[in-house]
Amino acid sequence: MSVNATLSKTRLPSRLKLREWAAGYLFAAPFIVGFLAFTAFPMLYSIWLSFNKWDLLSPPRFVGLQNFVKMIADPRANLSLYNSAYYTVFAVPIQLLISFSLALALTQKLRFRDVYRAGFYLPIIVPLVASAVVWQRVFHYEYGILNEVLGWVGIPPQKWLFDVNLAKPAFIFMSFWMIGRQMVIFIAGLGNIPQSLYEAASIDGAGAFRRMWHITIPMMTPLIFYNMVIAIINSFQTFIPAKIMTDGGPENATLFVVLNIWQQGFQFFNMGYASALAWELFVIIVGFTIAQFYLSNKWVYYEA
Amino acid sequence: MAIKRLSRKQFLMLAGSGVTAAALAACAQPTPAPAPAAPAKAEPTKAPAAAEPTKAPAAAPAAKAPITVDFLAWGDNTDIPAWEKLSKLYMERNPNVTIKVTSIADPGNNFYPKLQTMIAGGTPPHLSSFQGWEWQTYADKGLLVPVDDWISRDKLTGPYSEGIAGLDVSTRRKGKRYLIPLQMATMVMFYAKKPFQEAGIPFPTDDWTFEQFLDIAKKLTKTDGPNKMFGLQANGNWFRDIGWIVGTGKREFDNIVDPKKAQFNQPEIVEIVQLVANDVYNTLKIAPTPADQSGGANTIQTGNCAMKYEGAWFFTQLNSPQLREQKKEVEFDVVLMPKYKDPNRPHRGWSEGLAVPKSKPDTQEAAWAFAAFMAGEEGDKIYSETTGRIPNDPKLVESFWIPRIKELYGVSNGKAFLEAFKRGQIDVVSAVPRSKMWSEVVKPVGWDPMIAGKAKASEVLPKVDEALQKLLDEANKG
Repeated sequence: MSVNATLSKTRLPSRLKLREWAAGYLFAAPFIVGFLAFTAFPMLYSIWLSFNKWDLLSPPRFVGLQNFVKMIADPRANLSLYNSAYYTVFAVPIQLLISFSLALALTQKLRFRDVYRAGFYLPIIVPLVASAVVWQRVFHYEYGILNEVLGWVGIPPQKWLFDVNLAKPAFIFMSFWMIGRQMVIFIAGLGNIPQSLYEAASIDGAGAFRRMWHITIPMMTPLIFYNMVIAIINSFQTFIPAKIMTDGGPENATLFVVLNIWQQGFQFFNMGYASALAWELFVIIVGFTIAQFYLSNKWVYYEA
Repeated sequence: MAIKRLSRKQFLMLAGSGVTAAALAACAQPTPAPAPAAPAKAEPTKAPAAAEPTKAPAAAPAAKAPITVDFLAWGDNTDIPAWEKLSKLYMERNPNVTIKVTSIADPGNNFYPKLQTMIAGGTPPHLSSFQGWEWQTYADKGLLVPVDDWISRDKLTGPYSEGIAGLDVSTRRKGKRYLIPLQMATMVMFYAKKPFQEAGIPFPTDDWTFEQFLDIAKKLTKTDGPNKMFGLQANGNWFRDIGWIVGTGKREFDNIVDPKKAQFNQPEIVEIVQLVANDVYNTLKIAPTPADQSGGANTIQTGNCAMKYEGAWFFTQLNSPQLREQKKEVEFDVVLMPKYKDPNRPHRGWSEGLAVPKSKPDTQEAAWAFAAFMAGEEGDKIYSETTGRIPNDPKLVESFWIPRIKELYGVSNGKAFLEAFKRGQIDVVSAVPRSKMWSEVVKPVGWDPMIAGKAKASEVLPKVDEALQKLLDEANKG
């Protein structure tokens, strides 16, 4: 091999190229700096913290794996995981079902269709704190609209947010209010299904149900998958409604994972332990997401 | 001369650099307040304990150079106007001093997280509000300045009356004073007059007994009509129920300061807790449940409860000149907690006020001077009158506060507060924060199931002890 050939392979980029790179990085610098300062550094710092005991007042003290050992045996941490899992298992499928059904309905030729679409999307832009306060009223034992409506069919008033058995279902019910984003994504997806597929199926004698089962749903599976992944992540991160409406009660029935992390960090000042819990949640969410991607090969249809 | 114009690319590059630089600058720690110029008096950088006295508490720090005092303030709605008045007045009198007040809203939840985050970030405030049971951890970690020498130098003795246990324990630790009290805090029984008048029941008096209290609460309760009336608005949490627990003569810990052993499970405590955290809701039904009260319904303010255990900060929610103007007042008065098992009739009592976190000596000195102004007679009168809270000096309570609350809020029995404070016992002072005990153990294991009527005190309090003991052991182990 000649020396020239080697040199040409390792030749430095031209000045023009370097200037272009520099310009590119400079344009991206605000994001890069922001990402490093406000995302990457806190994440790395929290890894380090998870091996320390830190109350914010004294310097952090290295405790090895103590926080992780404690986490595994901590009934409170395990309960919070159970609560979040329960919420996710029930809330996500029903959210998807409702949002998909709404999307189907709102892609039909209806009068005031855009008004309905806007109406169902509206809760998404309402601040969560305000939503939580409104839902507190909805669930009110004595004056709540939910108990009022149930009363019409003879169901006695329930203490939704104060009964261990009803608090989680109440939060699941509340989550159905926030399906606007999923609905919009489904509506966009439904509009992209080629009409020719439906026409061909109709010519072959397929009825509405068959067209739905064999065309609409398969064609929508990428979006169902996407919405499911996002909804599971969001469900595991539920915090604001639980903080405002019940603060984890009654009897920790709504102590969700992120609320527990927040309490450990900012109420009990166990920053190291809170970091360990946060990384546990991270691993769980990433694990779930990877598993879903793996399973998606079996049911998600990507048009070639 | 020809002006070279920037290309769009160059402009964007410059803008990008500028934004990045600004972002980086924003991430940097704030520049500390400028150090004052050489003070007029000698030895300006001495430790505070050795600093020379100034003439009066309200006086500006020795140096007249500009100085800023960052004050992290308890931000209840009633407090914020007081901080504004006090800081404004102080700055008018001391033009070289800037008081920067940061009031923390919803302080019960947010105050200490904010303070600890500031400390962790290396930017502690120069002066901070503190409750009487919270500052001890900070003092133990060497983050606060003892104020004994300043107190004797400036003769700020009014807020430190001798012989009141609750005051001493909540201001002093290991022989040194740290808390500068702005108020004596205690709680007594509030009663709305109307339900008593309508039921033809005489108002309670300070010598009433627990049995009389229960009897009255039962008689006043009437929940079958459209306008419900409950005899008692129970508080539904351990902190407030300590007001009942102390009446037994027993406490929940072996020591109320630095406890080693949790002992809720004593017959006297079990009995009273069963009554006030379970029976009043579920069997006697003389108090609205938390579900009844959610959204602010069925309270003493809404006219649906006759009695409530509260503090002076609650006056403005029932009766004030503004409420009277709007015809929304609830006429009320107060009475000592009913006599229970302990013949000495202990109440809860503690001090709340300020402490000086460690900073530069001259800033500490300036922070103390402002604190001393607020805790002095003139400042504390402003604080007390604005917030309704009890002043820090028993003499002021008698001469100023009791007549004033009669005029402003219609309280005739103001002396009950003074009496309660003299019998005051502080809540627990521990390495395990009280909030942690409550959220992690006492609430979910004890109070929640009791209030829901799903468990008796005798069933849950042994579990509370067991779980609290673990927390205490862990904390005491370090």
